[in-house]
Amino acid sequence: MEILRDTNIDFMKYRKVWVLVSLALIAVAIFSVFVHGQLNIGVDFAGGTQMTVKFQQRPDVQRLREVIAGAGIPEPQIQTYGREAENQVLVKTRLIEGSAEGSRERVETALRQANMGEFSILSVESVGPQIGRELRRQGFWAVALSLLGMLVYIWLRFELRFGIGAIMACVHDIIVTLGLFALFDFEFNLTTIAAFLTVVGYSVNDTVVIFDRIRENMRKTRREPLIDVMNKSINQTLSRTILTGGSTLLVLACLLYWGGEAIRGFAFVIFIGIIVGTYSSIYIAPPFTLLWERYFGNRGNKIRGQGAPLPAGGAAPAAPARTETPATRRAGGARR
Amino acid sequence: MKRNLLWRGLLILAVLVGAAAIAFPPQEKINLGLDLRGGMHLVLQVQTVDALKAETDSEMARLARIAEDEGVAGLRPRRTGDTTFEVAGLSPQAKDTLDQIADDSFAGAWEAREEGDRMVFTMTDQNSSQIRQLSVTQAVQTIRNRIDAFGVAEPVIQEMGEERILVQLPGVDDPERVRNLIKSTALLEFRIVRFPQGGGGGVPSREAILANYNNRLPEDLEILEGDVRDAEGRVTQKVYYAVDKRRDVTGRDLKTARPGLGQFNDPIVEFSLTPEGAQKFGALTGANTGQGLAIVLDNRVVSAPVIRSRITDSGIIEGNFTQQEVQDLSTVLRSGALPASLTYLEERTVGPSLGRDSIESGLLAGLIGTALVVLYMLIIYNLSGVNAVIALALNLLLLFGGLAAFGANLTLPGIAGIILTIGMAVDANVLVFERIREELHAGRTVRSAVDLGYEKALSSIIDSNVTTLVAALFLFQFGTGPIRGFAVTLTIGLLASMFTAVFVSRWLFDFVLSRRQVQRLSI
Repeated sequence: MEILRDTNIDFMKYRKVWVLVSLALIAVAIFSVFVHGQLNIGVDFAGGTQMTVKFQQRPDVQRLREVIAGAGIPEPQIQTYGREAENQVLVKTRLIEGSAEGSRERVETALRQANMGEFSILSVESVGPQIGRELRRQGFWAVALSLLGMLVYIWLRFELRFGIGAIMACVHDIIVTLGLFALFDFEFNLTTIAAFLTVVGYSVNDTVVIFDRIRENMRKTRREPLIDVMNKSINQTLSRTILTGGSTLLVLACLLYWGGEAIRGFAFVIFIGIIVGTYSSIYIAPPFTLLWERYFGNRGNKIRGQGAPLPAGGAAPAAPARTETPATRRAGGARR
Repeated sequence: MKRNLLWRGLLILAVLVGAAAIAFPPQEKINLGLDLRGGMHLVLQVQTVDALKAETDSEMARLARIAEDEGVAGLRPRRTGDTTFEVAGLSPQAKDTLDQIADDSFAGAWEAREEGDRMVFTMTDQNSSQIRQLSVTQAVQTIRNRIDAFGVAEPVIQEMGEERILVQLPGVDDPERVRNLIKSTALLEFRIVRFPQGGGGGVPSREAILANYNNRLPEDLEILEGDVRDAEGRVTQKVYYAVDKRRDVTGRDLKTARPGLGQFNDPIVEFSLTPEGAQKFGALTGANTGQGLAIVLDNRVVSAPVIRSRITDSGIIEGNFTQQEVQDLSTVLRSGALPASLTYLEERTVGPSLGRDSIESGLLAGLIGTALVVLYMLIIYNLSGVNAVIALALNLLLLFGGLAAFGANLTLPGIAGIILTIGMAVDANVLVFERIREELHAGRTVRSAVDLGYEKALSSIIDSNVTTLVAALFLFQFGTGPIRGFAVTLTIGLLASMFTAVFVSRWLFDFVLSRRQVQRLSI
């Protein structure tokens, strides 16, 4: 079964529109993170205690909250966890007395005093302030250095303008996915960072495949303007993009549905990330590469495409109409 | 071409068999991370300043003893900081004697300085950093001793930079007991009770003690709390004692400690002292008959019997303990006191049932996902899809083999990583197959389309996988246990997929094409 053979969609034509769509998505993301209610930060980064407690009978969440708050524990967050029949709740508290241990003991005592029947603590995660701080730092550097590492790799294998395009796509993916993530109130913890790094990896992966084809086509046709080469390349790789994206999404959908509570946030991030990543490989990375080229020229680039002044003395080839049409000029300008 | 085919085929077979041998049976060969097996993960901070203070105290006492032997009696050294102490009110002869003692017995570890009629002793940097390091190492050893007595399979107890200790205990089902076992500094001290006279049951409040001293507690005394327990061992009341700060005999002087039975068949701890300890103990009790002897454990008074006569080398500790408490206390005393107290920086405890649930969910999702991907490949690529499926199967086999070979831990994110690899491994095949389709469309022969497909797709495969590997590398560097598990499965999975897609898949094509002339490729 073949799909999408010999398509000839002009992807680049409405790129201005799509960039605006992206900007809108980013705005929604920023809104949802800062306004809708802060990002639900897990104990990994904020410090505190988190317990999964299983009760014999259905616990009254409201009363539980009252009892625990009454025991002097500030702002406990209690929510049901997992399937209904399992009577499990998740109890989250911030740091008490600035220590990991104090929190846990106090919550346990409070639970016992709550007198809500037999319960067993299935899991405890207690993180003190120092570790919380360190994990935050590590998480940040992991993502930052990853992006840097990829930029360098792509710069080496392709050219700087492609590296910039890829990184822009990555950053876009992270922000939009983060926004949707916050909208659905998933918890942001270490596992989530791992998911975001995976998204970064996949997004770049996807972008590189397209860039690889662009590079190959550029070598074949030195005269053609970059924008046309890009269009052609995207069309050629379209079937691969859809097919691989499809199979990965298939697998992730299974994880989302059957994988269990603990891994749900993780699977969600990668699922959304792949969709957004595929989109950005087509509508963010190539346009930004073009943009970079338009403003910073072809300095240091190995393979020349149109759009930059050729060295004096060389006969300027007949510029194809495409490069200078008002549409593209406007598109370039609008990016400012 | 035929020969080449044979060698490559044999190589693939060897890899297959190798991976299978390493990875089967999976239950034994693959390590499970704590989040799947259940267990405790602790990061403890060693408060080395405790060790420094203890050393200072001990050296202070040593100075006083040596001075007494040299004829300067009644010295009352006073600790002025974590690593400093001073002796005040010295006559010139006393100062000379102390100078001599400092040179003889304290050189290298302490610097002595005269200030008027006082001598100030400061610990050298070398000594203090040595003590700090030693206390961490000792703490690790002590914890290990205690855990050994507890009987945990494959515990991990190790130093973790910046005076921290990492403890990982798989399969623990009584986390509370483990926490107490580890945390107990087991700092045992024998101190003289000054008020109430004769020790006994103490007084019910701090105010009562202060009242006795006209609200000014003498500098060489301190107030310690004790618990009064009922017959079942439950704490019913808190009582207070005024005790000497001076601590000559401590847990370091213990030779052994073991559970025993007291007069009324109640569980007690029997202990015996080392010869040096016995000597000190004899001196202490001999000089203080009629007073109470406070047995202080972790700065709480366990009991305070009256000293009837000089005691030297053994004794008992009783206090309405339960059998288990006496057991644990003996273990803890035997393993030695922790040289410094520990604070919890991080704790993650997962019960075994949660781990089991996670594995089940992961397996279910994985199986369904794999089945769907197989179907997907067959529908889209027809018979060539079989090629991809075989490559995928080998891929998974290599993945498990790699996990077993490196002894890597499989964690919950790791399972997600495996499932993700299933989805992404297909990518390399897709890249090649799409290219082959393109070439066929352009009119090439089957043979050359396959060759060109592989040739041109190679750079894409490498570049795209390298970038994902870069992400995995950083994940590994900056991640902790479960995340590392994910990074490892992702990395091994991708590397394996590159091998299977480029080498194995190619071989399968070559094999089929060499058998007969194929006009049309089912792709």
